[in-house]
Amino acid sequence: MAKEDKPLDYQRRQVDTKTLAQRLVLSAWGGGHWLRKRKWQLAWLLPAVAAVASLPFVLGVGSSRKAFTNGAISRPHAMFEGRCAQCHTLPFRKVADSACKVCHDGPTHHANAIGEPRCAACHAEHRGVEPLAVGNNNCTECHANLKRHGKEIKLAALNVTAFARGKHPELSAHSQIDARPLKLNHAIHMPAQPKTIRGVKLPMKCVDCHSMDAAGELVPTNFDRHCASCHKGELGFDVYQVLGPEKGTAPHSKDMAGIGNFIRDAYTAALALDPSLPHRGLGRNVEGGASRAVWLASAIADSTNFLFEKKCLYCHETETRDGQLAVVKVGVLSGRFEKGRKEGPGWAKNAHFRHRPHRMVQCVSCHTQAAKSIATSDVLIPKMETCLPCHGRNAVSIDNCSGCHYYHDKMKETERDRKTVPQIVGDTN
Amino acid sequence: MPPEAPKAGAPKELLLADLGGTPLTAEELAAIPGLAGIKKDIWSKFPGAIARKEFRAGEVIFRQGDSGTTAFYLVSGTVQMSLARAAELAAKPVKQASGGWARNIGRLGAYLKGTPASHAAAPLRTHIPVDGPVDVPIDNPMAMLEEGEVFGELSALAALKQEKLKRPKFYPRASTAHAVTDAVVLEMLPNILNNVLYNAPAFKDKLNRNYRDRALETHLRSVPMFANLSPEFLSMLRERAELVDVIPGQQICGQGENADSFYLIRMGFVKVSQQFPGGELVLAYISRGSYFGEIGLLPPVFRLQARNTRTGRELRTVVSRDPVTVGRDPSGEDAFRVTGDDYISRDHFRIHGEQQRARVTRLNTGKNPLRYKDESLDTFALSAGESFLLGDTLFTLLDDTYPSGRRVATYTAMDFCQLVRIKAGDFAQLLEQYPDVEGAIHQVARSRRELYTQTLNRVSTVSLDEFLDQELMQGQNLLLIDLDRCTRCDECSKACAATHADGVPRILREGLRFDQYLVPTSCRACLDPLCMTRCPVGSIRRKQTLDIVIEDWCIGCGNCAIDCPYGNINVVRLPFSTDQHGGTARPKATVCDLCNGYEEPNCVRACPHDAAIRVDAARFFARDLAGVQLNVAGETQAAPAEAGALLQETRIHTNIASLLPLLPRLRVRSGLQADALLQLRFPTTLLGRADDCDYHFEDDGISRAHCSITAERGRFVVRDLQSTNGTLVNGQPVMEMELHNGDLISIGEVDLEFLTGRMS
Amino acid sequence: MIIDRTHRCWMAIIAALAAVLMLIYAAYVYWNPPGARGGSPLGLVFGFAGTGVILFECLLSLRKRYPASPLGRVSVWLRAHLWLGLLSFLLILMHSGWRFGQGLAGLLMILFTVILVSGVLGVVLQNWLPRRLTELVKRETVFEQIPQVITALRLDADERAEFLTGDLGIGELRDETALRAGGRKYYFDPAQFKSAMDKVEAERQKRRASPQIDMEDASSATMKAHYLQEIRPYLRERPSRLGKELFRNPAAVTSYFHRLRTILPPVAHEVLFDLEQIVEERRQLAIQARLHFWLHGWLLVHVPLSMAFLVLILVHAVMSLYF
Repeated sequence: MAKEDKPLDYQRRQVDTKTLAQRLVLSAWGGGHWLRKRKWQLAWLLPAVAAVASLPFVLGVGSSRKAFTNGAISRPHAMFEGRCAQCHTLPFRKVADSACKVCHDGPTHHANAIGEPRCAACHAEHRGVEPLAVGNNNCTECHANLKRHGKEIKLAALNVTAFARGKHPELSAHSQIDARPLKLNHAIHMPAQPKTIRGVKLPMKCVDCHSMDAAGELVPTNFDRHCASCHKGELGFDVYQVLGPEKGTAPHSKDMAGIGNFIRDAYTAALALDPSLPHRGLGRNVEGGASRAVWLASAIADSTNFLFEKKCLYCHETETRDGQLAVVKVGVLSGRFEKGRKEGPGWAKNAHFRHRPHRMVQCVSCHTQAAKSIATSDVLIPKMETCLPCHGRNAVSIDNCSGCHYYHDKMKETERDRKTVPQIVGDTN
Repeated sequence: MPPEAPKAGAPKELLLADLGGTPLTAEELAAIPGLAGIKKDIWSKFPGAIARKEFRAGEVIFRQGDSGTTAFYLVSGTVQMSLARAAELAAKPVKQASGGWARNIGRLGAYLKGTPASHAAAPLRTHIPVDGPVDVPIDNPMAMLEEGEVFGELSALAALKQEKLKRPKFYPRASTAHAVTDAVVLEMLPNILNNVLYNAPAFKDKLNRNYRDRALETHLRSVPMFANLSPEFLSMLRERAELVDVIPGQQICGQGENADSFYLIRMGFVKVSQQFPGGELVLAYISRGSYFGEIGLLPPVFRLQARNTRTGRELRTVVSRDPVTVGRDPSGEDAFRVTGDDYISRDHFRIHGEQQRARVTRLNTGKNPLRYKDESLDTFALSAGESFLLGDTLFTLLDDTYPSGRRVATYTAMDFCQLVRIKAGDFAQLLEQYPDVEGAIHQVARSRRELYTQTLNRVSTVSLDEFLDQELMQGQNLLLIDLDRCTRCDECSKACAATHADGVPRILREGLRFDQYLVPTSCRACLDPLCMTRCPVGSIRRKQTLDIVIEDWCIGCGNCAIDCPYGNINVVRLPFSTDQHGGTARPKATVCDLCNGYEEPNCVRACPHDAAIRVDAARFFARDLAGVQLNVAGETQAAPAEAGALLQETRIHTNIASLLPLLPRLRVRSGLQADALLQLRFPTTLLGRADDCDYHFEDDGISRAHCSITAERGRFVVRDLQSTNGTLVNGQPVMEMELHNGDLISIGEVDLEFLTGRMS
Repeated sequence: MIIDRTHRCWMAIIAALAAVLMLIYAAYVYWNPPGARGGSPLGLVFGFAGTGVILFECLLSLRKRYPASPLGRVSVWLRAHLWLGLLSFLLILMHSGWRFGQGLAGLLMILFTVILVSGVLGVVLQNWLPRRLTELVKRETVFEQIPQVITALRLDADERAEFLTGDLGIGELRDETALRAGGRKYYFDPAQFKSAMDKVEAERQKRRASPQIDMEDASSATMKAHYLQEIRPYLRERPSRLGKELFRNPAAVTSYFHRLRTILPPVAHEVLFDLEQIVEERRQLAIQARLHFWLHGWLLVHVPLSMAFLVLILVHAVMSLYF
């Protein structure tokens, strides 16, 4: 039986530091709560997952290594994606030129270039799918201050920093003289007042002579294509008007002997067709009724002389070559004239220009002097001024050095041995 | 009652306190002449509590600033007690770990992890607060002790003298003791000292006498103000001064009592407060090294009121012994500018305190005469309440707010205090002989007056009740966590567990809040460490700094854990503790050692949010504490339900909610605001229709400034401010009247009931 | 970490550093128009600097593990962590040339952004929630110990309710063998332990035998019903739905107990006041648990992701340098 003493005293709840602390269990200390535990579990788990997950990438299973590229590979190199070792031949080294030269040849632009940069120094890969563009800084790195790279450099333009006035030298072409031995007068073809000569309406249009091919590139002006329609008469050798306009026109050829033969054949054939021809005589030199042989010889000789000494000189110059009279060779009508060469170099020494991208522009808006030019020696390539409204730092359009200039001298490029795909990228299965 | 006997179950040899030296048997002790008359059985109760130690000439027995728990009895030889020079303490070499750690990676790792400096190399305190600054120029010995004397525990002895107290208390050693000749001493634990004192009255008297001389000398010299006193005067003071011991809660002197002496606080914590209806206003806390009681002994400080008789404009200034220049545009530092009266010259007259009166002297630059008692005088002495006329301005000398020669406040010991009392006559003599001391004391008195006035005008947001309830003033090195910053990440606990080899945290982030701070469960390094009093083996002790350590020979009895009122000591079974009695786990008490040997306590160091701080509680909260505090004996623990009810009723800032039932206030009895409680402002509450009144009422029957209620020396007075419709108390129109509980004040159509608060 | 005036110095230093970095970057872009990116020299420098800072950021947890380390206080580390962390993001952006990139680089940028955002969120929460916690939860405890404290509250409540009701029929006992904090007496001696337990048991028996506070049987039964059906289920570790509804806010707690006090005689009021306190504490602990989750939950994202991020940075660095 419980003792019948007085009931227990009820003690009010008391809150002090000591009683508060006594609720805590010391032996359960340091266990940590799920929040903290989970944090550290995850802190171990996630890195482990990351490490394991990155293992196949590091080892390069399949083409997984492309995960490490820092940008899309360019279109031409797309076949190398994931085959890092194709270019990155040496670990912890920059891509060597040898890797590029497996496929490409890249001769330097001039023999005295100071130092030869790595291919990848200019052609940075992993910058997007566009082919490896070259930035201006790759050029200006040296050309902005060539003096710094060698005091002996003797170039007009030592400080090219941009395509702009004062920062880029004047284009050299227009300051030169066209030495081509050909007589040409743009002004006559394009008179300010319209008129009709020999049934042809003037002024002519630029494209009448400077036509474009299917690719849109300018085709070198050619007599047969561009001049003959008006200037066929300049080849008429039939000084006695025996043959008529059809047969009395010589072909436009460099072959002087051939033309001579053509003339002889023309008269021989005409004589055979009409034996009565000698009766008519040939002007003052040959009386009517001369013998056939005399007539023929005279007709041929007179026509040949007429053609070569009068008619050809309408455009060409002649010279005596190997004891014979010959037309001075003009070569293809493009670029500079160099005696003895069929096709001279382009007007720009270090740059190139393509008309096609400019086809929306009227010719005269750049070639402003064309309509006034009366001499062959006039070079109608425009000055830099003409380009600047569209090009250059302040304009909206392209300001790439590589837009006009080549670094690599394609002339020096050697023919590569063509390879098969497996040879280049390895076995693809 | 003597300290509790050791537990019977424990093996006896474990209970031996390890004082070092040779433990003495009861027979040997009884043979010592000074200890004669003590019952033998006391000795046998505490085996090992007294040890005999021998020191060679020149050897240091203890150093100044060490926190010792033991007393010494000099058996033979001579011991020199000296105060160390500051330089000596500061220059204690802090040993660096020997070079070449860079060679060893392991050592580097240990360095980076932060291993404690060895305990031997822990820097000593450079400054000991107990006896003031240590720069007392003392190269010569303070005292030579001969055989038969007890030395060492000066402070502990002081506390032991308190008859009501059954336990010793510990303070840092006040001086360094070293043996001059080869000396033999008995080192004894405080519990045995306690017994010795209570059992040998002659011995006790002798000790008291010695102690008084020594303590006074030490203290008087350490007060900076007395630095220039001549040795003769000092010894005179020492002879005349008295050592007073007070226990916690004891009133040293009450407000309004005769000011008969000046007190220096040698140790302890004293509350300065003033009594007001509804409670007590705490003005300040002062502690060791400070002094009080000077205001009542100094001449009164008057206030000079200048009232322009035409405009009614009033100006006031304070007049003490330093002359104040009065004028229209006076020069000098202590100047009182009275504008708006063309009769007053730029520098017109000077006034200064002269004992119980003030002397007024007209300056040469003052053109118009001063009219005092219908006479034009150039100089005259003015008593409080008297006035004189200058031009249109009436100058009145107002009496000191504190009556001269009376205590201005109540001084209460919060702690075991020991005071040096200098009688009024000696104090006056001191001031007379040493003008620089007088100047310094005047300076202090003046700044204190200002402080008290400021305090009176401020309403505190922190309740001192709580501060005292939580006994925060014990905390010499109190860990606080700023809850606004703390993210509760527990890094402090983790750091603590990581710091101690046993992995038991000494800080638990659990406890009561004080203001915005959490006072977590962690050792407070109490001023008065209760935990040390009952250790049977003396393993818990204070080191050089404030830290309390529990030495390895702890038996895990748990006495300290039970004694600690704050739950900061835990007894745990430690599997790793080294045990000379076999390798098994055994209980051991764990306590915060303030990371002894580390740069700073690691809980503070590890706090990522700057939330954990360690502070001296009294100093840290001093600013907050000196404010309104009303305490009514026996009613501090108000029932929570009532507090809650009041909270809803009044909607006043929660921090002072617990004080509300104690405060005097007004209850609105009529109108829309019926039953609202209006807290009275201190010292004056202004009621009226104007917006800038403390309480304003939208009632056309009430004047702009209608009436005021002022607390004046223990009573509340309502004053009508010349209102149009008058102020009625209990239906009777009054101009000025003292209020009593339940009085009904009517202004306009508003009825207010005056409640004194829970005072009656 | 409260962002206050003491952070000004850090802000100024970091802002200055960021400005200097931006200047360097701008200068670099001016001379090299495509700008710095992973492979370019300055990009590499930025990358290494950023990685260095990130490594330092991760060292914070290591620093926390060794609280006594002489390498500065943890709060200084956290400040550095916070501000340098912001700077490191700028460094990495400059490293990448302000692109997010693709593949691993893109993944790293996404991870970094998530980590940064979670960190910033953490700072914001740490500025706001502690005050909220201080305000809402007056009686909070150590978060990990909330289950133990709830158990203690429940057993305390049981004991107090038994004063009114007698045996409640609850078998749950306090685990007296657990080592408690706060200097509670712990009996290492089995004999002592047993006698102490006997004393406690005797008291319990007496309490259960009959209500120690004398009340009418009907009141006692009411109290028992209220306690067992409404109060006690709320004091479980997972409180009942009814309890959650009944004690949804302080006013609800007050009004519930106010109602109980009106139907029970005044002798029971002391117990009811105590039970009210206990229930209120339990309610606050629920708030504490919830706020604590928000205060520290973001670390679930921040820390593990940072660790994974570190691994991936290593892979990224090695593989990028390799190729």
